[in-house]
Amino acid sequence: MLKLVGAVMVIVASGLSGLAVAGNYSRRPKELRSLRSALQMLETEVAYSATYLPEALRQVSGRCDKTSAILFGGAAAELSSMSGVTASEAWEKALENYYRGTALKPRDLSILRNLGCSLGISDKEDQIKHLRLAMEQISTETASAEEEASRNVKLWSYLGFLGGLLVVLILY
Amino acid sequence: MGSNIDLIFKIAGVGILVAVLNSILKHAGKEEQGHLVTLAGLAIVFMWVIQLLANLFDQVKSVFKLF
Repeated sequence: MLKLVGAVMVIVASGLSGLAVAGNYSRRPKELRSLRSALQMLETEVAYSATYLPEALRQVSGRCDKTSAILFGGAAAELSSMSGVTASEAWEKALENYYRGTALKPRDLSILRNLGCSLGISDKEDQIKHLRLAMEQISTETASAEEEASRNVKLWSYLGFLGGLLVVLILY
Repeated sequence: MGSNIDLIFKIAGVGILVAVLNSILKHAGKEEQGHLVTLAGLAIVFMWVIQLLANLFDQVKSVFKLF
């Protein structure tokens, strides 16, 4: 009886950890896509309505979906708290906060960090160029993330359960 | 006899799981890991079987008085 309970626990634990890994793989392309559309909105704000940065960030965080809203909302709040930080420092802070809750890779983080370095320190055309660059890079990352996801999601969701089953069978 | 039948079922189970794992890994483009899993399964099954083989050889030795 005890053995059976242990076997079930091993299978459930390894199965769930496999599903968690698979979930990470499938979440990354979604988050990248939502980031891209949020940056698109920010570009629109900057290009056509020339909103000033905290307001533009707040607008974007209100309209984009929940995961990216943390990044833009955090940066907007940091900027408008009058604590004397520059836009890139505020972006950096929000980025760290945002990165912990996502499935993004260090590669993606460095794209956003590069964007932050040039945020709010130059004229409209230059800002738009930097935003375009970041969007372009995120697009290529999205393509590779999608390809990775299609290969790995199924693999890991099976691998966890089968691995647990194998361990149980060997030790039983 | 009972434990031997159990062992045969265990070996069959490992065989099925290894086959499924191998096909999944191959499908995901990780053939090296697939080979590794197959090899690991083989090693595990051998570890079980070798004890029985040792028993068999001992019995042969005792039957033919080859001490």
